[in-house]
Amino acid sequence: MRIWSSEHTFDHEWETVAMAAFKKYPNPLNRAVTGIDVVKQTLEAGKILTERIIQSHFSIPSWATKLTGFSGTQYSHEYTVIDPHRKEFSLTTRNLNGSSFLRVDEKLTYKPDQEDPNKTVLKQDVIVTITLPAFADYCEKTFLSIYSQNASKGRQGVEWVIDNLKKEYEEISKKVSTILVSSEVHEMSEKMRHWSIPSTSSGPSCTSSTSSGPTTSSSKSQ
Amino acid sequence: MSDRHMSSIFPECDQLKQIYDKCFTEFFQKFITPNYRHQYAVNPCERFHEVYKRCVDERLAKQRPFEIDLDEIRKEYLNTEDDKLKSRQSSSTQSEQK
Repeated sequence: MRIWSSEHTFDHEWETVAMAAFKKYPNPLNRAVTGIDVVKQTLEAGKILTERIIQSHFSIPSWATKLTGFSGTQYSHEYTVIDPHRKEFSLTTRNLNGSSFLRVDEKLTYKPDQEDPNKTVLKQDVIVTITLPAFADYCEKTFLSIYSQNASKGRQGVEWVIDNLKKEYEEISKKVSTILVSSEVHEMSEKMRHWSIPSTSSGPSCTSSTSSGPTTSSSKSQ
Repeated sequence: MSDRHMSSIFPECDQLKQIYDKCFTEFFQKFITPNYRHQYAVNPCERFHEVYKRCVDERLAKQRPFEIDLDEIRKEYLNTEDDKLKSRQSSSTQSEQK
């Protein structure tokens, strides 16, 4: 049995990282993940509890498949608890294949940095146990060296998703502000129309003036 | 909202997954904000999940892509802190009733 632990700080607040971690896949840095199914997703006492089956595909040599019966397609079970009140997002993952000789337990937790709430700390622990008649220790070491490389890719993947979500939000907020602005303009012109009723002569000119930008913003402050 | 979509393990269930994911992601975005009333929230997309899950469960049972029984794993998770807390809570309510 071998344990590997690491800590990483994201320069983003918890909500942003949680959103990205929740929508982590697909991303170009973790292409091994080929399919995910949500087998359970419930809300209990203000927390989201999720169980997912994750399918990954690795290119491993055919002799290794013959030797271990371990094919390139792997499945794992992931259990996540998202607690927005305590700002804690934890994931526990276990391999579903090759369990006769391999067991990988992974635990990840995303929490706000205690010193800086604008940052988020990811704690990651993995325990690997390989049961083979020989070279088990060597295999565990090799596994963890590959694992640590993948872990860094995983963090880069989260960063990629954060960038991607930001772009999406920017696009959405642009759209939303366009809608808001146009509805404001509409609202203003409606008001103008009402106001224009008593003074019959200024009516049409007043309504038309709302369509130009500066007039709208100045009248908004009233 | 997102063009990125993680597909289902089973292509036949992918469309149902997309419908569910879209619904749940929209809910999640609201849920994650600090001012949301988390305590009494329920999954608003449960109906979509039921249909989608049925599709996945059928295929998992038929194709058996892995040898481990998910219920076995669930039993282990029952010993997590959350569940300890839950059992403690339920036992305290029982004692209150007495």
